[in-house]
Amino acid sequence: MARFEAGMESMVDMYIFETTSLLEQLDQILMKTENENSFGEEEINEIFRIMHTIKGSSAMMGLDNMSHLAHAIEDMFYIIREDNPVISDMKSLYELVFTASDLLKAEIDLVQDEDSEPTDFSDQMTKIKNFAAMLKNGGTPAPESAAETAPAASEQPADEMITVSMGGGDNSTTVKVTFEDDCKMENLRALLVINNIRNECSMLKFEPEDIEDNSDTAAYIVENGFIIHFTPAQTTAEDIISLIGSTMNVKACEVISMGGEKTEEVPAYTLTCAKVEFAEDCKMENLRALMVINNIREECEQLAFVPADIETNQSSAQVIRDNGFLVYFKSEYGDDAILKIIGETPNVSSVTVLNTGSDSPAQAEAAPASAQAAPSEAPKPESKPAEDKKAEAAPAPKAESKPAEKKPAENKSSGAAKQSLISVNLYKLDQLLDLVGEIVITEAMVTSNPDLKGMRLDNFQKAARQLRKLNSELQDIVMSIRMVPISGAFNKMTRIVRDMKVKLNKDVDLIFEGEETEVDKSIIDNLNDPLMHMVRNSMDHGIEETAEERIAAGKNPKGKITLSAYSSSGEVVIVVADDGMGMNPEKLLDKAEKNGILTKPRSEYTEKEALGLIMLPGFSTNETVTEYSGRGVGMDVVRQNIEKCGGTVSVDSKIGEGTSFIIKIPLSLSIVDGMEVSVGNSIFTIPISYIKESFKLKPNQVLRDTDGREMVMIRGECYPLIRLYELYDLDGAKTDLYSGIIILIESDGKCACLLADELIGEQQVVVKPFPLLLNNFNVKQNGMSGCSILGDGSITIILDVSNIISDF
Amino acid sequence: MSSITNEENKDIVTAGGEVLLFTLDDVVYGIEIKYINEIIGIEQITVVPKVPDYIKGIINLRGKTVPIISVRRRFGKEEIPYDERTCIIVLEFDGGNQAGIIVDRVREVTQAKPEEICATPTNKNVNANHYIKNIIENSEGIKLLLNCEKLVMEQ
Repeated sequence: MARFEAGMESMVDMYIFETTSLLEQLDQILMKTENENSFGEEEINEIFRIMHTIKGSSAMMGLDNMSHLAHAIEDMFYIIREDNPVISDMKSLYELVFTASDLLKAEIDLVQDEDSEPTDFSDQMTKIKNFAAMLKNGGTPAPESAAETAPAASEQPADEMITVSMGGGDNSTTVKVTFEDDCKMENLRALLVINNIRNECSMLKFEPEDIEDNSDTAAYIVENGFIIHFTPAQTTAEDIISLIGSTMNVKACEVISMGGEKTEEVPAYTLTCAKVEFAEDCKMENLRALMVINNIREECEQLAFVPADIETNQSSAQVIRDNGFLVYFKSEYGDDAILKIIGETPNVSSVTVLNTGSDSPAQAEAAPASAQAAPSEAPKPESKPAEDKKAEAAPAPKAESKPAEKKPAENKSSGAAKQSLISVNLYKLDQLLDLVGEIVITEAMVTSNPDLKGMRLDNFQKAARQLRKLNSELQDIVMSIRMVPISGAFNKMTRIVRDMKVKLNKDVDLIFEGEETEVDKSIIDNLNDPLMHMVRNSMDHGIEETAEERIAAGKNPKGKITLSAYSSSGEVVIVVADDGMGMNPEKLLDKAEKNGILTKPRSEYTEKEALGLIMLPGFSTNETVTEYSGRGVGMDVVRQNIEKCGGTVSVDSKIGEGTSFIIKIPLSLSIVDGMEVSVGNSIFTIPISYIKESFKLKPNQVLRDTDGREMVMIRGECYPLIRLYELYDLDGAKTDLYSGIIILIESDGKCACLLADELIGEQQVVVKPFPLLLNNFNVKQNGMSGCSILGDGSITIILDVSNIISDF
Repeated sequence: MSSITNEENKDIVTAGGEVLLFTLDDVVYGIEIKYINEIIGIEQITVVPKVPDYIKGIINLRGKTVPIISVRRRFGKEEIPYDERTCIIVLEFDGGNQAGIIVDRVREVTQAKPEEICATPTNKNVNANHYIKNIIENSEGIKLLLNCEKLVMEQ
């Protein structure tokens, strides 16, 4: 069974996004406070607010288990905030909240899975409640009453927002509404009708009543029609009937009985009226407004808002955008407290108080009468108890909203700074990128079409150049849209380090460098796992077991793990370095020999190759902790993940000084400016960013060293010469140095010359990864980074220049 | 005819028992139909350097790159020039991995009945057993049912 109704997908996405970021925020706050070992008021409020929001939005999505867990934490922090108890057992508190945060995160993952069942959090909740009770008993008794009321209030279900009183009136009009055949979900359509007219009616009741919750009523409506009894508030009954008639899918509105016309003024002077505006482009303003309402509901005795149908009517988002969202409330905590809560709700850009409630005795009397109804109702503000019988359905007094609506113009200009960020589904960006890739290929298909060969097409060429320029701009923008700072991936590691610090009892500092470096979003997603494995390895095996060992080695007793990122020539380099004990290549070789994964005689292994052994699958699964720094837990997973996004991993280690893992990933995954060169029958693409120059050799430029290796002398510098046909055993290539072309390539400050048959031309290519089968044969290690399909359908292999150079 | 009932046989039967037959030299081989994505004629193959010789390279199959394996080379036979009957059978495995195999000619799809399926000999000296899952024997002759995963994935 699907967890959510159809049509809620966008809300689910938004919910997941928001809750995940809130939980990450929570982790960060917790970690910060744990380091400082004290809870500031600010932090407590922040945690309280995060939990409150999660509670509210989870309840809105019908995820009761999450909502309740968040509620338990919220209660606990309420006690901490209000009672300010002396918390003796900080450790358990952190443990509780961290575990809860993990549970919530896991549940969020589950939510995305259609078939999952909600997890039972009752164990954790009991723990939290016990702890909260303990805190409460240990705390100072002073503000007890406040502590009592809030949890009590918040225990009430927060979903019933629409209350319909069934008191009939003589002036009421009764109509029967029928809906179009086959329009489906008649009960919700009926609700739409009700929402449409609610604000216009001082009395409103309808049959069947439970249209919102009971989908069986749809069948009843189809059979018997939908009966509405109403008394118009200010307009005439005819107006309302026409309003009903204009609602979507309404087929007919038949008047059964018509009451006398009566307009009622509904004053709302007791209430404070605030206008809430939301950040521009935040989308779904109605739901954000609902969040505001959910946030303040428990604190308010009276609460009403315009538009009232935010929960059910999506078009109310537009109304809110245009006119702002008006909230009428009365609260014992005072207006300022409520306004603060509103202001702190996510995406609220401004809160403007339009009028404050006066405290005249008459109204003060009226307040308690309706106060008991709060917070589960949205009561209509009343000044005369006598009206009780008649109408309670119109939560938002029309009279009040009118003057308010005139004000927005002046308020808007003074609104808070515009939010210029939007969140976009990654899938759409992927599609966009794919499309741009296709456009690039198609452009090549058109502009270098064989039909055009030998023709003089000045105007065509001009237009083609223009197209190319625009295409590359488009590409740049699409790529830049997808770039996000790497700090997000890094920050996740703080949590891992924190947990392991506790578990392994090691004192380690985690240091970030260059976390503002931007990489493609899809790379970030692929980075999380490898980073985690590497950081874990560094924590577990890299850093010495005890501080004494470190002191004995002449190091700071506190270990250090550095995560750094920087970009260099089209690549992002990410280094995970520790200052631990390092790895001994000899011991690695011993172990590899024992496991039988050496592929050549032991003596032929270089130190680098020996270190590389830890990336082999056979190496990793064996032992996790050994007498030497037996790294390699999941290192083959790291390699696989990195290679999946076209990157490479290498290891560098010095015994006694530490180990670093160096990850290199191409900055942009997909589109590369390449130079195509032919070698025999094959075509290779060399990324242009690596090419320094290309030229024909002159006889006096070639030298040989004592081993017979060829070198090329260019302007007084010597570079090794790599014959591509030799490197790749290709037939039919030009073997004469002087008839082929030499391409000088550079990577990481190292240069080399490649010999190819000829240059074909410059072309942008869309990088495709090699088929999985080929990855089994280490093509990546042989200097090929991927392949690409050219405009004519043929395939070219993209050379990994840095790999070729580093092998020479 | 020794009829056997191991798991693999059941698989074949439940999948309808349909097997695509192709020939190399005069030997008839079969591939379970569930692996087969399509059969195409020989195309221009882009050579990928530094891979075993049985991997002929990659082709562009409607925008996807598909590695191509020569079954002849895989079985240690000499390659023969491609002609108009040479085919590439594109196989697809779990997870969407594709690979193409070059065969001399494709014959037909046949129905393998459970009682016609026999196990391969366990004699280790018979080298080809390596890639052969079962033997199908019926009135039309003997067919060797290939183990596609091994044929393609094993290094």
